[in-house]
Amino acid sequence: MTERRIKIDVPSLARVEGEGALHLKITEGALDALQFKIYEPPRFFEKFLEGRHYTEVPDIVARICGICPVAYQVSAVNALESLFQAPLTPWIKQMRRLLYCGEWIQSHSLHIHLLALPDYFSEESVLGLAAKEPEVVKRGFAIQEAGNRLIRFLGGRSVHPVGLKVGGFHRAPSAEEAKELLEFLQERLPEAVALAEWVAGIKLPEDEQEFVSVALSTEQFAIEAGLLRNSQGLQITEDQYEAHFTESQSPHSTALWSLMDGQDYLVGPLARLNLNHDCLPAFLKTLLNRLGDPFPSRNMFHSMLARAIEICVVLHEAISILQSYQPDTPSAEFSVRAGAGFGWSEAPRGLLWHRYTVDEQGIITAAKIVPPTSQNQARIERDLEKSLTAFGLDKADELLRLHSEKVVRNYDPCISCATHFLKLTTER
Amino acid sequence: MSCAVVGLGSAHGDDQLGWLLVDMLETQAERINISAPGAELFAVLQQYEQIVVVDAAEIGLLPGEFRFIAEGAELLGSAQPHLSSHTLDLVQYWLLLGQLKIPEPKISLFLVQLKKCNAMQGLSPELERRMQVYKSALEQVLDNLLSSDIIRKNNSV
Repeated sequence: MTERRIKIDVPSLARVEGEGALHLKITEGALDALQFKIYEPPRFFEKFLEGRHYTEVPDIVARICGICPVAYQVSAVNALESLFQAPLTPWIKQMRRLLYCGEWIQSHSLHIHLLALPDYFSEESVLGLAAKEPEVVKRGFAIQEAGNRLIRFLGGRSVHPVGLKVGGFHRAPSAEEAKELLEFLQERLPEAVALAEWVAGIKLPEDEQEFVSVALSTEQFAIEAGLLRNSQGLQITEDQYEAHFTESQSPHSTALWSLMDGQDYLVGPLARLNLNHDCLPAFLKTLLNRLGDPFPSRNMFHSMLARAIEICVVLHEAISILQSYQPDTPSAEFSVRAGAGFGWSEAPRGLLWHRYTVDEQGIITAAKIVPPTSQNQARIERDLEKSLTAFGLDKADELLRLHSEKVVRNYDPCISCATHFLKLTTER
Repeated sequence: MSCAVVGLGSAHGDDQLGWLLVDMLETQAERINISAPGAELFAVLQQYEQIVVVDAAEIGLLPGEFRFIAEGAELLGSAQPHLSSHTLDLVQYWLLLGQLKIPEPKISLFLVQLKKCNAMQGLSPELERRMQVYKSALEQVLDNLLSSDIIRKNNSV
């Protein structure tokens, strides 16, 4: 019998956020080793936060990620406001949701058009895609601009916004600004629906797997708050998170690995659609029915459609909020209390959990942040094992590499977000 | 259509040169600062008739020396796109304009040779002490550009 040994190294994964790699070893037709490596240097944000005043937290955590700063800000203020029992008004809560809608639009459109779609057209990048499908790319940038403008409306600027603070916002935008934004968003909604229809028509690999979906849930489609649910029936609040979710260090990753009650799990758009499908607005349920609604789905390749549907969800929601927008008192009064605060929200890539311990003066004494990419790491490796085996380990190395990258991109990993912890042991 | 001066950069070391310089300018041109190029740059490229990009770059000079390249299109058209993990750089956005058949603006580049871009550090002394020189040179460039009747009219609206 001839033994076939294959080693595939993808030293730098392209079209993902941050620096990661993949190592595969196939011996006699079976996967011998598989490692999704995150080697980007650790960033120590939790340590930076210690000793800082709570008012600095939203601006510091925004710097963790250029793509999902709002998610970091909202999870952080949720945790601190919960500790301080800040009496947030309905206006403040609604504006938080509106700001978050902008981030989902921006991030999802970027992922679909710049990161994921080139795979399905055998192109290296959006430049090749633009030559084949120029109108799709133009539409994608127009939709992304809607997200930029929404973030700018409440955040002051579209990258690393500065408008949010513990207790609310620094200012309330004028009704005139809202009207101008509303018109732009209304023009984008039919484009977003057309995008979802178009994405639904793309032929995807059939790659069904068993996994547990985890997402926040509320009466509305959960974005900035909610109870955590999973597809096995778990339902918990923010302060119960650490009783079920544990993190550990792996030698091949500078990001921590997260397990839920000892098992890998999925967070992100597909998990949200799987769990919150019933919360979709009626027009999207009708649209999905027409498209042969695949949700709930066990095929990770449906993540791109899930993102397109979520763009429609949040554009529709943002339009609805802006139609009745009136400026109001932008922030609530509260008193600082010592103790521990817990907060979470649904970042574009999935659940983002924060915990802060604060002293009587409002100084942060400890911080813990669990980003979605570290939560998906174990699932990504499990998915690769199954998906590559189903794809055929006897395929040419280049095909295996391309398929692996496609699988990883389904999760839209944000590696820079994930690498802010490293356990350092010194021997003397 | 009008004229914009766009600072590209980040909060790290000499990479913040573009932002700091654009903030200092006294000009009728629209002043815009953009973080390590995101999609916002693509929108800006489509909105203005004339764009002057200000950036710290590796251009083979001594730290702090600068070059103004009036015909930036030629350089961008022949440059190698930078491999970026999650977004596109100026060169890629420039190529994308062509791929999508979107009219290109007239683009000029004001580039300063960087020394180091250490995280959360300030400018290198070589760049810091020349800020007024850059400011004067750039304002002169913008004055010349804005002396075009069409651009001046549109920027005064």
